[in-house]
Amino acid sequence: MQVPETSISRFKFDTSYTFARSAAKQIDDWLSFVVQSKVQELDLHVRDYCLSQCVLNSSSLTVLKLSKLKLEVSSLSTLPSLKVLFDAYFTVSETLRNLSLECAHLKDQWLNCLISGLPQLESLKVECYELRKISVRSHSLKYFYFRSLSSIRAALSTPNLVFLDIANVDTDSIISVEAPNLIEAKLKLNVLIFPKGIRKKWPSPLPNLKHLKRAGTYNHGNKRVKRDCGEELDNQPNNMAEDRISHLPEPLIHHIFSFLPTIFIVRMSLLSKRWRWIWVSNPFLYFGDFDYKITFPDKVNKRDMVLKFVGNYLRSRKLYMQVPETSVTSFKFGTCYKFTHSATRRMDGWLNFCVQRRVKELDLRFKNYCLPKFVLNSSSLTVLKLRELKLEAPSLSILPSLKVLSLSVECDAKSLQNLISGCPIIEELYLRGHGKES
Amino acid sequence: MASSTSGSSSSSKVVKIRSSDNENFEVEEAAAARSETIKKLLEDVGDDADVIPLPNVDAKTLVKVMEWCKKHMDDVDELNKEEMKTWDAEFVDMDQSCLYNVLLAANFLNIKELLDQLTQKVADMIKGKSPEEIRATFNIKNDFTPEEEAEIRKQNAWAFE
Repeated sequence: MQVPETSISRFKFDTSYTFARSAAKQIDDWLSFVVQSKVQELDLHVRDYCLSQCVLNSSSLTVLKLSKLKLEVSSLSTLPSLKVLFDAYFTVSETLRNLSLECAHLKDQWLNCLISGLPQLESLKVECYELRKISVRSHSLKYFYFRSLSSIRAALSTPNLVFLDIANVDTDSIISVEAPNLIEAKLKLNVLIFPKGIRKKWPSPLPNLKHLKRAGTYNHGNKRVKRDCGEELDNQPNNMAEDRISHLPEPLIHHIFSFLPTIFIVRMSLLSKRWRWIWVSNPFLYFGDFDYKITFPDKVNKRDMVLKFVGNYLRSRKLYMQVPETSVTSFKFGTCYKFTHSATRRMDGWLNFCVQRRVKELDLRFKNYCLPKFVLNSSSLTVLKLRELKLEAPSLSILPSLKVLSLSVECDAKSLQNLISGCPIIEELYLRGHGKES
Repeated sequence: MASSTSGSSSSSKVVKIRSSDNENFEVEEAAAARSETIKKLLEDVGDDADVIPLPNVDAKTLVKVMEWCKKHMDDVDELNKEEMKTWDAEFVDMDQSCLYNVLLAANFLNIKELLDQLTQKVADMIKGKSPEEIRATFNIKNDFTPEEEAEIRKQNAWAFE
Protein backbone atom coordinates (compact mmCIF):
# COMPACT_ATOMS: atom_id res chain seq x y z
CA MET A 1 0.00 0.00 0.00
CA GLN A 2 1.56 3.24 -1.18
CA VAL A 3 -0.55 5.68 0.77
CA PRO A 4 -0.39 5.50 4.55
CA GLU A 5 -2.50 2.60 5.80
CA THR A 6 -6.04 3.66 6.58
CA SER A 7 -7.99 1.84 9.19
CA ILE A 8 -9.98 -1.38 8.78
CA SER A 9 -13.47 -1.10 10.17
CA ARG A 10 -14.47 -4.67 10.22
CA PHE A 11 -12.84 -8.04 9.83
CA LYS A 12 -15.06 -11.03 9.49
CA PHE A 13 -13.82 -14.56 9.02
CA ASP A 14 -16.19 -17.44 8.99
CA THR A 15 -15.31 -20.99 8.15
CA SER A 16 -16.48 -24.43 9.01
CA TYR A 17 -13.05 -26.02 8.45
CA THR A 18 -10.77 -26.94 11.25
CA PHE A 19 -7.28 -25.69 10.64
CA ALA A 20 -3.94 -27.15 11.41
CA ARG A 21 -1.58 -25.45 13.79
CA SER A 22 0.34 -23.84 10.93
CA ALA A 23 -2.84 -22.26 9.61
CA ALA A 24 -3.62 -20.93 13.05
CA LYS A 25 -0.30 -19.14 12.92
CA GLN A 26 -1.43 -17.51 9.71
CA ILE A 27 -4.70 -16.37 11.24
CA ASP A 28 -2.66 -14.93 14.11
CA ASP A 29 -0.75 -12.86 11.55
CA TRP A 30 -3.92 -11.59 9.86
CA LEU A 31 -5.40 -10.61 13.16
CA SER A 32 -2.21 -8.91 14.18
CA PHE A 33 -2.42 -6.92 10.95
CA VAL A 34 -6.05 -5.90 11.42
CA VAL A 35 -5.48 -4.98 15.03
CA GLN A 36 -2.58 -2.76 13.95
CA SER A 37 -4.94 -1.25 11.40
CA LYS A 38 -7.22 -0.23 14.22
CA VAL A 39 -10.00 -2.65 13.47
CA GLN A 40 -13.27 -1.83 15.19
CA GLU A 41 -15.30 -4.95 14.62
CA LEU A 42 -14.10 -8.50 14.67
CA ASP A 43 -16.35 -11.39 13.83
CA LEU A 44 -14.66 -14.78 13.95
CA HIS A 45 -16.10 -18.19 13.50
CA VAL A 46 -13.22 -20.64 13.38
CA ARG A 47 -13.50 -23.98 15.00
CA ASP A 48 -10.91 -24.70 17.69
CA TYR A 49 -8.81 -21.71 16.86
CA CYS A 50 -7.20 -20.24 19.93
CA LEU A 51 -7.66 -16.50 19.85
CA SER A 52 -4.49 -14.51 19.54
CA GLN A 53 -3.56 -12.46 22.57
CA CYS A 54 -3.07 -9.34 20.44
CA VAL A 55 -6.83 -9.18 19.85
CA LEU A 56 -7.48 -9.10 23.56
CA ASN A 57 -5.26 -6.05 23.86
CA SER A 58 -6.68 -4.06 20.99
CA SER A 59 -7.39 -0.46 21.84
CA SER A 60 -9.67 0.15 18.84
CA LEU A 61 -12.03 -2.83 19.08
CA THR A 62 -15.65 -1.98 19.77
CA VAL A 63 -17.40 -5.18 18.73
CA LEU A 64 -16.06 -8.67 19.26
CA LYS A 65 -18.02 -11.64 18.06
CA LEU A 66 -16.52 -15.02 18.66
CA SER A 67 -17.92 -18.36 17.84
CA LYS A 68 -16.60 -21.90 18.13
CA LEU A 69 -13.10 -20.90 18.99
CA LYS A 70 -10.99 -21.34 22.06
CA LEU A 71 -10.11 -18.62 24.47
CA GLU A 72 -7.18 -18.56 26.77
CA VAL A 73 -5.89 -15.59 28.64
CA SER A 74 -2.72 -15.50 30.60
CA SER A 75 -2.70 -11.88 31.54
CA LEU A 76 -5.26 -9.18 32.03
CA SER A 77 -6.69 -8.11 28.73
CA THR A 78 -7.19 -4.49 27.96
CA LEU A 79 -9.87 -3.60 25.48
CA PRO A 80 -10.67 -0.02 26.40
CA SER A 81 -13.09 0.65 23.53
CA LEU A 82 -15.06 -2.59 23.42
CA LYS A 83 -18.80 -2.13 23.65
CA VAL A 84 -20.20 -5.39 22.44
CA LEU A 85 -18.92 -8.81 23.24
CA PHE A 86 -21.03 -11.29 21.47
CA ASP A 87 -21.41 -15.03 21.37
CA ALA A 88 -18.52 -15.94 23.51
CA TYR A 89 -19.27 -19.55 22.83
CA PHE A 90 -16.46 -21.51 24.32
CA THR A 91 -15.87 -24.86 22.84
CA VAL A 92 -13.93 -26.97 25.21
CA SER A 93 -11.47 -29.26 23.55
CA GLU A 94 -11.19 -32.88 24.61
CA THR A 95 -8.04 -32.28 26.62
CA LEU A 96 -9.62 -29.40 28.49
CA ARG A 97 -12.70 -31.41 29.28
CA ASN A 98 -10.63 -33.72 31.34
CA LEU A 99 -9.69 -30.85 33.57
CA SER A 100 -13.31 -29.98 34.04
CA LEU A 101 -13.29 -28.44 37.49
CA GLU A 102 -10.17 -26.43 37.03
CA CYS A 103 -11.33 -25.51 33.63
CA ALA A 104 -14.57 -24.13 34.99
CA HIS A 105 -12.62 -22.17 37.48
CA LEU A 106 -10.23 -20.88 34.87
CA LYS A 107 -13.04 -19.73 32.69
CA ASP A 108 -14.59 -17.75 35.47
CA GLN A 109 -11.23 -16.12 36.03
CA TRP A 110 -10.92 -15.53 32.37
CA LEU A 111 -14.24 -13.75 32.26
CA ASN A 112 -13.32 -11.77 35.32
CA CYS A 113 -10.06 -10.77 33.73
CA LEU A 114 -11.70 -9.93 30.48
CA ILE A 115 -14.56 -7.97 31.91
CA SER A 116 -12.41 -5.99 34.29
CA GLY A 117 -10.37 -4.96 31.26
CA LEU A 118 -13.44 -3.64 29.45
CA PRO A 119 -14.42 -0.30 30.92
CA GLN A 120 -16.95 0.39 28.18
CA LEU A 121 -18.56 -2.98 27.78
CA GLU A 122 -22.29 -2.63 27.37
CA SER A 123 -23.51 -5.98 26.14
CA LEU A 124 -22.33 -9.36 27.18
CA LYS A 125 -23.63 -12.64 25.92
CA VAL A 126 -22.21 -15.80 27.30
CA GLU A 127 -23.16 -19.34 26.48
CA CYS A 128 -21.12 -21.86 28.22
CA TYR A 129 -22.39 -25.25 29.17
CA GLU A 130 -19.74 -25.96 31.70
CA LEU A 131 -19.35 -22.74 33.53
CA ARG A 132 -20.32 -23.16 37.16
CA LYS A 133 -19.28 -19.94 38.74
CA ILE A 134 -19.41 -16.52 37.29
CA SER A 135 -19.01 -13.08 38.72
CA VAL A 136 -19.51 -9.98 36.70
CA ARG A 137 -18.49 -6.58 37.97
CA SER A 138 -18.95 -3.85 35.47
CA HIS A 139 -20.08 -0.27 35.61
CA SER A 140 -20.77 -0.04 31.92
CA LEU A 141 -22.68 -3.26 31.35
CA LYS A 142 -26.27 -2.75 30.24
CA TYR A 143 -27.29 -6.02 28.65
CA PHE A 144 -26.37 -9.39 29.96
CA TYR A 145 -27.41 -12.67 28.45
CA PHE A 146 -26.25 -15.88 30.00
CA ARG A 147 -26.88 -19.52 29.33
CA SER A 148 -25.44 -22.52 31.01
CA LEU A 149 -26.39 -26.12 31.48
CA SER A 150 -24.84 -26.44 34.87
CA SER A 151 -26.20 -25.19 38.11
CA ILE A 152 -24.32 -22.03 38.73
CA ARG A 153 -23.38 -19.54 41.35
CA ALA A 154 -23.46 -16.11 39.82
CA ALA A 155 -22.83 -12.72 41.29
CA LEU A 156 -23.68 -9.63 39.31
CA SER A 157 -22.50 -6.28 40.46
CA THR A 158 -23.70 -4.18 37.60
CA PRO A 159 -25.16 -0.82 38.61
CA ASN A 160 -26.16 0.13 35.07
CA LEU A 161 -27.63 -3.14 33.92
CA VAL A 162 -31.03 -2.68 32.30
CA PHE A 163 -31.61 -6.06 30.70
CA LEU A 164 -30.90 -9.47 32.15
CA ASP A 165 -31.62 -12.80 30.53
CA ILE A 166 -30.55 -15.87 32.40
CA ALA A 167 -31.94 -19.06 30.99
CA ASN A 168 -31.43 -22.73 30.97
CA VAL A 169 -29.65 -22.77 34.25
CA ASP A 170 -30.49 -25.42 36.73
CA THR A 171 -33.17 -24.52 39.20
CA ASP A 172 -30.81 -24.73 42.12
CA SER A 173 -28.67 -21.98 40.71
CA ILE A 174 -28.22 -18.96 42.89
CA ILE A 175 -27.90 -15.58 41.34
CA SER A 176 -26.88 -12.70 43.48
CA VAL A 177 -27.84 -9.42 41.87
CA GLU A 178 -26.88 -5.84 42.50
CA ALA A 179 -28.54 -4.06 39.61
CA PRO A 180 -30.77 -1.22 40.80
CA ASN A 181 -31.43 0.02 37.28
CA LEU A 182 -32.69 -3.25 35.91
CA ILE A 183 -35.81 -2.73 33.81
CA GLU A 184 -36.36 -6.05 32.15
CA ALA A 185 -35.44 -9.50 33.34
CA LYS A 186 -36.03 -12.92 31.91
CA LEU A 187 -35.23 -15.53 34.44
CA LYS A 188 -35.42 -19.22 34.51
CA LEU A 189 -34.36 -19.92 38.00
CA ASN A 190 -35.76 -20.07 41.44
CA VAL A 191 -33.59 -18.11 43.70
CA LEU A 192 -32.51 -14.57 43.32
CA ILE A 193 -30.72 -13.01 46.21
CA PHE A 194 -29.41 -9.59 46.96
CA PRO A 195 -26.10 -8.93 48.59
CA LYS A 196 -25.97 -7.65 52.11
CA GLY A 197 -26.18 -3.93 52.37
CA ILE A 198 -28.12 -3.41 49.18
CA ARG A 199 -31.37 -3.00 51.05
CA LYS A 200 -29.83 -0.11 52.90
CA LYS A 201 -28.54 1.53 49.76
CA TRP A 202 -31.73 1.30 47.73
CA PRO A 203 -35.39 1.49 48.70
CA SER A 204 -35.96 -1.82 46.94
CA PRO A 205 -33.42 -4.17 45.44
CA LEU A 206 -34.90 -3.73 41.99
CA PRO A 207 -36.85 -0.45 42.09
CA ASN A 208 -37.04 0.03 38.33
CA LEU A 209 -37.99 -3.45 37.25
CA LYS A 210 -41.01 -3.27 34.95
CA HIS A 211 -40.93 -6.50 33.01
CA LEU A 212 -40.25 -9.77 34.64
CA LYS A 213 -40.64 -12.92 32.70
CA ARG A 214 -40.17 -16.06 34.64
CA ALA A 215 -39.95 -19.53 33.28
CA GLY A 216 -39.12 -21.50 36.35
CA THR A 217 -40.54 -24.94 36.63
CA TYR A 218 -41.61 -24.79 40.23
CA ASN A 219 -44.22 -22.49 41.68
CA HIS A 220 -42.54 -22.68 44.98
CA GLY A 221 -39.45 -20.89 43.83
CA ASN A 222 -41.21 -18.55 41.49
CA LYS A 223 -43.13 -17.07 44.33
CA ARG A 224 -39.87 -16.23 45.91
CA VAL A 225 -38.49 -14.52 42.82
CA LYS A 226 -41.72 -12.62 42.48
CA ARG A 227 -41.62 -11.50 46.02
CA ASP A 228 -38.01 -10.50 45.90
CA CYS A 229 -38.58 -8.48 42.80
CA GLY A 230 -41.79 -7.01 44.13
CA GLU A 231 -43.09 -5.30 47.20
CA GLU A 232 -42.11 -7.33 50.18
CA LEU A 233 -38.57 -6.84 51.25
CA ASP A 234 -38.25 -7.98 54.78
CA ASN A 235 -36.85 -11.07 56.35
CA GLN A 236 -35.03 -12.53 53.41
CA PRO A 237 -34.66 -16.19 54.30
CA ASN A 238 -31.10 -17.30 53.83
CA ASN A 239 -31.96 -20.92 53.36
CA MET A 240 -31.77 -21.33 49.62
CA ALA A 241 -32.47 -25.00 49.23
CA GLU A 242 -35.96 -26.15 48.45
CA ASP A 243 -37.90 -29.24 49.28
CA ARG A 244 -38.21 -31.29 46.13
CA ILE A 245 -38.76 -34.74 47.60
CA SER A 246 -42.20 -33.78 48.97
CA HIS A 247 -43.33 -32.84 45.47
CA LEU A 248 -42.47 -36.13 43.86
CA PRO A 249 -45.44 -38.13 42.61
CA GLU A 250 -46.61 -40.84 44.98
CA PRO A 251 -45.54 -43.84 42.86
CA LEU A 252 -41.98 -42.51 42.89
CA ILE A 253 -42.07 -42.01 46.64
CA HIS A 254 -43.28 -45.60 46.97
CA HIS A 255 -40.43 -46.69 44.73
CA ILE A 256 -37.99 -45.02 47.11
CA PHE A 257 -39.79 -46.65 50.03
CA SER A 258 -39.30 -50.07 48.48
CA PHE A 259 -35.66 -49.93 49.62
CA LEU A 260 -36.48 -48.93 53.18
CA PRO A 261 -37.54 -50.93 56.21
CA THR A 262 -41.18 -50.13 56.94
CA ILE A 263 -40.44 -48.84 60.43
CA PHE A 264 -38.66 -45.80 58.95
CA ILE A 265 -41.59 -45.12 56.68
CA VAL A 266 -44.04 -45.04 59.57
CA ARG A 267 -41.71 -42.73 61.47
CA MET A 268 -41.59 -40.43 58.46
CA SER A 269 -45.25 -39.60 59.16
CA LEU A 270 -43.80 -37.02 61.55
CA LEU A 271 -42.03 -35.08 58.80
CA SER A 272 -44.93 -32.96 57.55
CA LYS A 273 -48.55 -33.19 56.47
CA ARG A 274 -47.49 -34.46 53.07
CA TRP A 275 -45.90 -37.47 54.72
CA ARG A 276 -48.59 -38.05 57.33
CA TRP A 277 -50.41 -40.90 55.59
CA ILE A 278 -48.10 -42.14 52.87
CA TRP A 279 -47.08 -45.19 54.89
CA VAL A 280 -50.67 -46.46 54.82
CA SER A 281 -50.75 -46.95 51.06
CA ASN A 282 -47.14 -48.03 50.64
CA PRO A 283 -47.27 -51.33 48.74
CA PHE A 284 -43.77 -52.45 49.74
CA LEU A 285 -43.68 -54.07 53.15
CA TYR A 286 -40.21 -54.61 54.49
CA PHE A 287 -39.73 -55.86 57.99
CA GLY A 288 -36.20 -56.63 58.85
CA ASP A 289 -32.75 -55.29 59.31
CA PHE A 290 -33.79 -54.29 62.79
CA ASP A 291 -30.19 -53.70 63.60
CA TYR A 292 -29.98 -49.93 63.34
CA LYS A 293 -29.23 -48.25 66.61
CA ILE A 294 -32.08 -45.89 65.98
CA THR A 295 -34.66 -48.64 65.39
CA PHE A 296 -35.11 -49.82 68.91
CA PRO A 297 -33.34 -48.85 72.10
CA ASP A 298 -30.94 -51.51 73.30
CA LYS A 299 -32.79 -52.32 76.48
CA VAL A 300 -36.02 -53.63 74.96
CA ASN A 301 -36.52 -57.21 73.95
CA LYS A 302 -35.95 -56.94 70.23
CA ARG A 303 -37.47 -60.28 69.44
CA ASP A 304 -40.82 -59.24 70.83
CA MET A 305 -40.56 -55.77 69.34
CA VAL A 306 -40.22 -57.17 65.83
CA LEU A 307 -43.37 -59.24 66.18
CA LYS A 308 -45.30 -56.46 67.87
CA PHE A 309 -44.30 -54.02 65.22
CA VAL A 310 -45.42 -56.11 62.26
CA GLY A 311 -48.74 -56.89 63.95
CA ASN A 312 -49.37 -53.25 64.84
CA TYR A 313 -48.40 -52.07 61.41
CA LEU A 314 -50.78 -54.37 59.58
CA ARG A 315 -53.61 -53.60 62.01
CA SER A 316 -53.14 -49.82 61.71
CA ARG A 317 -52.86 -50.09 57.96
CA LYS A 318 -56.26 -51.74 57.79
CA LEU A 319 -57.66 -49.23 60.26
CA TYR A 320 -56.53 -46.08 58.44
CA MET A 321 -57.09 -47.28 54.92
CA GLN A 322 -60.16 -45.34 53.81
CA VAL A 323 -60.46 -46.98 50.45
CA PRO A 324 -60.49 -50.75 50.25
CA GLU A 325 -57.02 -52.12 50.75
CA THR A 326 -55.04 -51.91 47.55
CA SER A 327 -52.51 -54.48 46.61
CA VAL A 328 -49.36 -55.35 48.48
CA THR A 329 -46.55 -55.58 45.96
CA SER A 330 -43.87 -57.07 48.11
CA PHE A 331 -43.47 -58.51 51.57
CA LYS A 332 -39.99 -58.85 52.94
CA PHE A 333 -39.33 -60.24 56.37
CA GLY A 334 -35.95 -61.09 57.75
CA THR A 335 -34.86 -61.84 61.25
CA CYS A 336 -32.11 -63.76 62.96
CA TYR A 337 -34.24 -64.54 66.01
CA LYS A 338 -35.87 -67.88 66.65
CA PHE A 339 -39.53 -67.63 67.45
CA THR A 340 -42.01 -69.58 69.46
CA HIS A 341 -44.85 -71.58 68.01
CA SER A 342 -47.36 -68.75 68.50
CA ALA A 343 -45.12 -66.43 66.53
CA THR A 344 -45.08 -68.75 63.55
CA ARG A 345 -48.89 -68.82 63.65
CA ARG A 346 -48.94 -65.06 63.41
CA MET A 347 -46.55 -65.25 60.49
CA ASP A 348 -49.02 -67.56 58.73
CA GLY A 349 -51.68 -64.88 59.20
CA TRP A 350 -49.51 -62.13 57.73
CA LEU A 351 -48.62 -64.23 54.71
CA ASN A 352 -52.28 -65.01 54.20
CA PHE A 353 -53.02 -61.28 54.28
CA CYS A 354 -50.33 -60.67 51.63
CA VAL A 355 -51.38 -63.49 49.35
CA GLN A 356 -54.97 -62.22 49.46
CA ARG A 357 -53.67 -58.78 48.42
CA ARG A 358 -52.07 -60.47 45.45
CA VAL A 359 -48.49 -60.04 46.60
CA LYS A 360 -45.94 -60.31 43.80
CA GLU A 361 -42.71 -60.66 45.71
CA LEU A 362 -42.02 -62.59 48.87
CA ASP A 363 -38.63 -62.53 50.54
CA LEU A 364 -38.47 -64.43 53.82
CA ARG A 365 -35.64 -65.25 56.18
CA PHE A 366 -36.97 -66.89 59.29
CA LYS A 367 -35.32 -69.77 61.13
CA ASN A 368 -37.29 -72.99 61.64
CA TYR A 369 -40.39 -71.65 60.01
CA CYS A 370 -42.30 -73.97 57.73
CA LEU A 371 -43.78 -72.15 54.77
CA PRO A 372 -47.57 -72.61 54.66
CA LYS A 373 -48.96 -74.47 51.65
CA PHE A 374 -51.18 -71.63 50.36
CA VAL A 375 -48.09 -69.57 49.51
CA LEU A 376 -47.07 -72.27 47.04
CA ASN A 377 -50.38 -71.87 45.22
CA SER A 378 -50.38 -68.11 44.86
CA SER A 379 -51.29 -67.07 41.34
CA SER A 380 -49.87 -63.55 41.63
CA LEU A 381 -46.40 -64.42 42.92
CA THR A 382 -43.56 -63.55 40.53
CA VAL A 383 -40.56 -63.59 42.87
CA LEU A 384 -40.06 -66.00 45.77
CA LYS A 385 -36.93 -65.84 47.88
CA LEU A 386 -36.62 -68.08 50.90
CA ARG A 387 -33.75 -68.40 53.34
CA GLU A 388 -33.24 -70.47 56.46
CA LEU A 389 -36.77 -71.76 56.68
CA LYS A 390 -38.26 -75.17 56.02
CA LEU A 391 -39.94 -76.02 52.78
CA GLU A 392 -42.30 -78.91 52.43
CA ALA A 393 -44.29 -79.50 49.30
CA PRO A 394 -45.92 -82.90 49.56
CA SER A 395 -48.04 -82.27 46.48
CA LEU A 396 -47.55 -80.38 43.24
CA SER A 397 -47.61 -76.60 43.70
CA ILE A 398 -49.16 -74.10 41.26
CA LEU A 399 -47.25 -70.88 40.75
CA PRO A 400 -48.31 -69.76 37.27
CA SER A 401 -46.64 -66.31 37.43
CA LEU A 402 -43.40 -67.18 39.16
CA LYS A 403 -40.27 -66.01 37.34
CA VAL A 404 -37.61 -65.89 40.01
CA LEU A 405 -37.07 -68.56 42.63
CA SER A 406 -34.24 -68.35 45.08
CA LEU A 407 -33.92 -71.03 47.73
CA SER A 408 -31.48 -71.47 50.55
CA VAL A 409 -33.65 -73.74 52.64
CA GLU A 410 -34.08 -77.10 54.24
CA CYS A 411 -35.89 -79.09 51.60
CA ASP A 412 -36.03 -82.64 50.29
CA ALA A 413 -35.69 -83.55 46.65
CA LYS A 414 -39.34 -84.51 46.27
CA SER A 415 -40.56 -81.15 47.60
CA LEU A 416 -38.17 -79.32 45.34
CA GLN A 417 -39.41 -81.22 42.36
CA ASN A 418 -43.03 -80.54 43.28
CA LEU A 419 -42.26 -76.87 43.60
CA ILE A 420 -40.30 -76.39 40.39
CA SER A 421 -42.72 -78.47 38.32
CA GLY A 422 -45.44 -75.99 39.26
CA CYS A 423 -43.61 -73.01 37.74
CA PRO A 424 -44.29 -72.97 33.98
CA ILE A 425 -42.64 -69.63 33.17
CA ILE A 426 -39.68 -69.64 35.54
CA GLU A 427 -36.70 -67.63 34.29
CA GLU A 428 -34.23 -67.59 37.15
CA LEU A 429 -33.55 -70.31 39.66
CA TYR A 430 -31.03 -70.06 42.48
CA LEU A 431 -30.45 -73.00 44.78
CA ARG A 432 -28.16 -73.18 47.73
CA GLY A 433 -28.32 -76.52 49.47
CA HIS A 434 -29.17 -77.25 53.06
CA GLY A 435 -29.46 -80.87 54.07
CA LYS A 436 -31.11 -83.45 51.93
CA GLU A 437 -31.32 -81.75 48.56
CA SER A 438 -30.12 -83.74 45.58
CA MET B 1 -18.29 -51.30 16.39
CA ALA B 2 -18.75 -55.00 16.44
CA SER B 3 -22.06 -55.39 14.72
CA SER B 4 -22.48 -55.46 10.96
CA THR B 5 -23.57 -52.43 9.03
CA SER B 6 -26.30 -54.23 7.18
CA GLY B 7 -29.81 -54.44 8.51
CA SER B 8 -32.04 -51.76 9.93
CA SER B 9 -30.83 -52.11 13.50
CA SER B 10 -27.21 -51.20 12.86
CA SER B 11 -25.58 -49.92 16.03
CA SER B 12 -24.36 -46.66 14.53
CA LYS B 13 -27.84 -45.43 13.68
CA VAL B 14 -28.58 -42.06 15.15
CA VAL B 15 -31.85 -40.64 16.41
CA LYS B 16 -32.65 -37.01 17.07
CA ILE B 17 -34.35 -35.96 20.25
CA ARG B 18 -35.40 -32.53 21.44
CA SER B 19 -35.52 -31.30 25.01
CA SER B 20 -38.32 -29.22 26.52
CA ASP B 21 -36.19 -26.10 26.06
CA ASN B 22 -35.70 -26.88 22.37
CA GLU B 23 -32.16 -28.18 22.37
CA ASN B 24 -31.63 -30.89 19.79
CA PHE B 25 -29.49 -33.91 20.51
CA GLU B 26 -28.26 -36.70 18.32
CA VAL B 27 -27.96 -39.98 20.12
CA GLU B 28 -27.10 -43.46 19.00
CA GLU B 29 -30.30 -45.41 18.66
CA ALA B 30 -29.02 -48.22 20.85
CA ALA B 31 -28.47 -45.73 23.66
CA ALA B 32 -31.76 -43.90 23.21
CA ALA B 33 -33.63 -47.21 23.13
CA ARG B 34 -32.65 -47.81 26.76
CA SER B 35 -35.67 -45.64 27.30
CA GLU B 36 -38.79 -47.74 26.81
CA THR B 37 -40.70 -44.55 26.00
CA ILE B 38 -38.35 -43.59 23.16
CA LYS B 39 -38.10 -47.18 21.98
CA LYS B 40 -41.87 -47.37 21.72
CA LEU B 41 -42.05 -44.04 19.88
CA LEU B 42 -39.41 -45.24 17.42
CA GLU B 43 -41.36 -48.41 16.78
CA ASP B 44 -44.55 -46.42 16.25
CA VAL B 45 -43.18 -43.83 13.85
CA GLY B 46 -40.62 -46.03 12.16
CA ASP B 47 -37.70 -44.67 10.18
CA ASP B 48 -39.23 -41.42 9.03
CA ALA B 49 -39.15 -39.94 12.48
CA ASP B 50 -37.70 -36.48 12.30
CA VAL B 51 -37.02 -35.25 15.79
CA ILE B 52 -38.56 -36.85 18.85
CA PRO B 53 -39.77 -34.14 21.19
CA LEU B 54 -39.48 -34.82 24.91
CA PRO B 55 -41.65 -32.13 26.47
CA ASN B 56 -40.94 -33.14 30.05
CA VAL B 57 -37.15 -33.18 30.03
CA ASP B 58 -34.89 -30.14 29.86
CA ALA B 59 -31.55 -30.12 28.08
CA LYS B 60 -29.39 -30.34 31.16
CA THR B 61 -31.28 -33.35 32.45
CA LEU B 62 -31.35 -34.99 29.06
CA VAL B 63 -27.56 -34.71 28.78
CA LYS B 64 -27.30 -36.55 32.09
CA VAL B 65 -29.79 -39.25 31.17
CA MET B 66 -28.16 -39.87 27.79
CA GLU B 67 -24.76 -40.07 29.45
CA TRP B 68 -26.14 -42.97 31.47
CA CYS B 69 -27.82 -44.57 28.46
CA LYS B 70 -24.62 -44.41 26.43
CA LYS B 71 -22.70 -46.10 29.21
CA HIS B 72 -25.35 -48.77 29.54
CA MET B 73 -25.85 -49.25 25.83
CA ASP B 74 -24.13 -52.62 25.59
CA ASP B 75 -24.43 -55.63 27.79
CA VAL B 76 -21.83 -55.68 30.51
CA ASP B 77 -19.65 -58.74 30.82
CA GLU B 78 -18.57 -60.06 34.20
CA LEU B 79 -15.15 -58.43 33.95
CA ASN B 80 -16.55 -54.94 33.65
CA LYS B 81 -19.27 -55.28 36.25
CA GLU B 82 -17.20 -53.83 39.07
CA GLU B 83 -16.07 -50.96 36.93
CA MET B 84 -19.67 -50.27 35.95
CA LYS B 85 -20.76 -50.33 39.59
CA THR B 86 -18.19 -47.67 40.42
CA TRP B 87 -19.30 -45.62 37.46
CA ASP B 88 -22.94 -45.90 38.49
CA ALA B 89 -22.16 -44.90 42.06
CA GLU B 90 -20.36 -41.82 40.81
CA PHE B 91 -23.14 -41.06 38.39
CA VAL B 92 -25.89 -40.93 41.02
CA ASP B 93 -23.72 -38.82 43.29
CA MET B 94 -25.14 -35.50 42.12
CA ASP B 95 -26.71 -32.54 43.82
CA GLN B 96 -30.28 -33.00 44.98
CA SER B 97 -31.97 -30.74 42.48
CA CYS B 98 -30.27 -32.53 39.64
CA LEU B 99 -31.07 -35.88 41.22
CA TYR B 100 -34.82 -35.20 41.23
CA ASN B 101 -34.76 -33.90 37.67
CA VAL B 102 -33.01 -37.03 36.45
CA LEU B 103 -35.33 -39.16 38.60
CA LEU B 104 -38.45 -37.62 37.06
CA ALA B 105 -36.91 -37.94 33.60
CA ALA B 106 -36.02 -41.61 34.13
CA ASN B 107 -39.61 -42.15 35.23
CA PHE B 108 -41.06 -40.38 32.20
CA LEU B 109 -38.62 -42.03 29.79
CA ASN B 110 -39.23 -45.37 31.49
CA ILE B 111 -35.64 -46.47 32.08
CA LYS B 112 -36.14 -49.02 34.83
CA GLU B 113 -32.56 -49.69 35.77
CA LEU B 114 -31.71 -46.00 36.06
CA LEU B 115 -34.88 -45.38 38.05
CA ASP B 116 -33.88 -48.15 40.45
CA GLN B 117 -30.42 -46.69 40.91
CA LEU B 118 -31.76 -43.21 41.61
CA THR B 119 -34.53 -44.23 43.99
CA GLN B 120 -32.02 -46.44 45.81
CA LYS B 121 -29.77 -43.40 46.15
CA VAL B 122 -32.57 -41.33 47.70
CA ALA B 123 -33.46 -44.24 50.00
CA ASP B 124 -29.83 -44.39 51.15
CA MET B 125 -30.07 -40.72 52.04
CA ILE B 126 -33.08 -41.49 54.26
CA LYS B 127 -31.88 -44.73 55.80
CA GLY B 128 -30.90 -44.66 59.46
CA LYS B 129 -31.89 -41.05 59.99
CA SER B 130 -34.26 -39.63 62.58
CA PRO B 131 -37.24 -37.56 61.36
CA GLU B 132 -35.40 -34.37 62.31
CA GLU B 133 -32.35 -35.42 60.34
CA ILE B 134 -34.48 -36.35 57.34
CA ARG B 135 -36.15 -32.92 57.41
CA ALA B 136 -32.76 -31.27 57.46
CA THR B 137 -31.41 -33.42 54.63
CA PHE B 138 -34.32 -32.72 52.30
CA ASN B 139 -35.36 -29.26 53.49
CA ILE B 140 -38.78 -30.51 54.49
CA LYS B 141 -40.70 -27.90 56.44
CA ASN B 142 -42.46 -29.17 59.52
CA ASP B 143 -46.01 -27.85 59.16
CA PHE B 144 -47.45 -29.60 62.21
CA THR B 145 -48.32 -27.80 65.39
CA PRO B 146 -46.68 -29.30 68.49
CA GLU B 147 -50.11 -30.71 69.42
CA GLU B 148 -50.51 -32.44 66.06
CA GLU B 149 -47.02 -33.83 66.31
CA ALA B 150 -47.75 -35.23 69.76
CA GLU B 151 -50.95 -36.76 68.42
CA ILE B 152 -49.10 -38.61 65.66
CA ARG B 153 -46.52 -39.88 68.10
CA LYS B 154 -49.35 -41.16 70.26
CA GLN B 155 -51.26 -42.71 67.39
CA ASN B 156 -48.21 -44.48 66.00
CA ALA B 157 -46.57 -45.08 69.35
CA TRP B 158 -45.88 -48.66 68.33
CA ALA B 159 -43.39 -47.38 65.77
CA PHE B 160 -41.65 -44.90 68.02
CA GLU B 161 -41.15 -46.96 71.16
